Amino acid sequence: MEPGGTPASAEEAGAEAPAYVPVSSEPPAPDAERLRRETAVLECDVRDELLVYLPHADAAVALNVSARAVWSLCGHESSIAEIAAALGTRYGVPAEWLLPDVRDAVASLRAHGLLVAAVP
Amino acid sequence: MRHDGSAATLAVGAIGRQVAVRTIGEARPSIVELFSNMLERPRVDAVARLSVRGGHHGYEVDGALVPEPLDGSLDDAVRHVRHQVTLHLMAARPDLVWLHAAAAARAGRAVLLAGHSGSGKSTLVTRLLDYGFTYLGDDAIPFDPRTGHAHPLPMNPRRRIYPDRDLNDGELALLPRRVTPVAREHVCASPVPISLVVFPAYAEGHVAMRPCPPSESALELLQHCVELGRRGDGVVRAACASAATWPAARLWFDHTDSAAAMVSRLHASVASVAS
Repeated sequence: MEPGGTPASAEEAGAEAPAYVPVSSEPPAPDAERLRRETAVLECDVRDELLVYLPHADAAVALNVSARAVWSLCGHESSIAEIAAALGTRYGVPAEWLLPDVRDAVASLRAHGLLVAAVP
Repeated sequence: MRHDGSAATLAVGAIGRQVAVRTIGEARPSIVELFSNMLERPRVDAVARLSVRGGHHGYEVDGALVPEPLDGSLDDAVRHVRHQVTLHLMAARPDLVWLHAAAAARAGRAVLLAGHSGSGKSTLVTRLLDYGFTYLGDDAIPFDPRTGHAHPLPMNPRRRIYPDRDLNDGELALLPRRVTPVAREHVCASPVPISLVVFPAYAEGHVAMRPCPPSESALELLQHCVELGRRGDGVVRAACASAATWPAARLWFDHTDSAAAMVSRLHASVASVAS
């Protein structure tokens, strides 16, 4: 589960990858670390997916349905564990089943500059 | 270069605006060839005035909105005039969203070919004319976010002249270009609703097309919005709203006939669904 919009398969080797992908060298967040959204963004619905635009970087990231669900739960300085728990409740599955996907999504959102560590 | 007195002013019009291009005699045929489908009766309210003249270092262009160094050749001056006419028209119509794209229309619906330089837009849009399409433009297409209509900006296509050998990426951008005049009866004269977006890309050895999801299409459209960064939020919202509405596909090709046939078939199927 990760933000969509960036072609990565070998089939698409001939394509021009979207340039709106800032790169971050931040280490992965521990499950308990509290995260918050980058606030200076513009969110636009694209059907059931979401495009988030970062004006300061002139960068945009497309979030698929799964990444959008994680993003929506990051509005209150949540941790990975809390996001997994909330999604588990929503979909009726144990939170630990979702943890790997949530970790991946959070790592990708951080790499794109959309999530940052919340200051205690 | 001869510095003769046979200068003439051409009135180049589109989207309800006009740019006056004054040119010395030697450059005039090339300018006329480029804008042959946009020449109008001169108006007093031209939004800008460009002048192509001979200088100490070859051809020079005055009146540029964004000045840039020229190499003095006629080809570079013509390229510069083309770019500056587009920029002046953009400045005159900030209500439109400007895309780095080509476009053609058939049966009252347009297909937008959005892509970087070298992606094959000009070649593809020119070939689409053989499939009953009319021509809107090959490099910059303005669309109205309120109506979803593409507006014609029918500067004649400048197609690359390919040698009979494989090229590397660096060589592609340096290939000379040749203006390919489009007959006036093949030019679309009025705004047309966009019904399909295609993102072409060169891919050696095959032709393939696959649907492009809306969010991916929004990203691509944003990339090809010429004014991105200047108008910000409005452009982002327009790209997202458009991407949610317009069917989109990615196209990889190295064979123009096959690619044009695929685009033509997809356009027809989209149009029939829409109707």
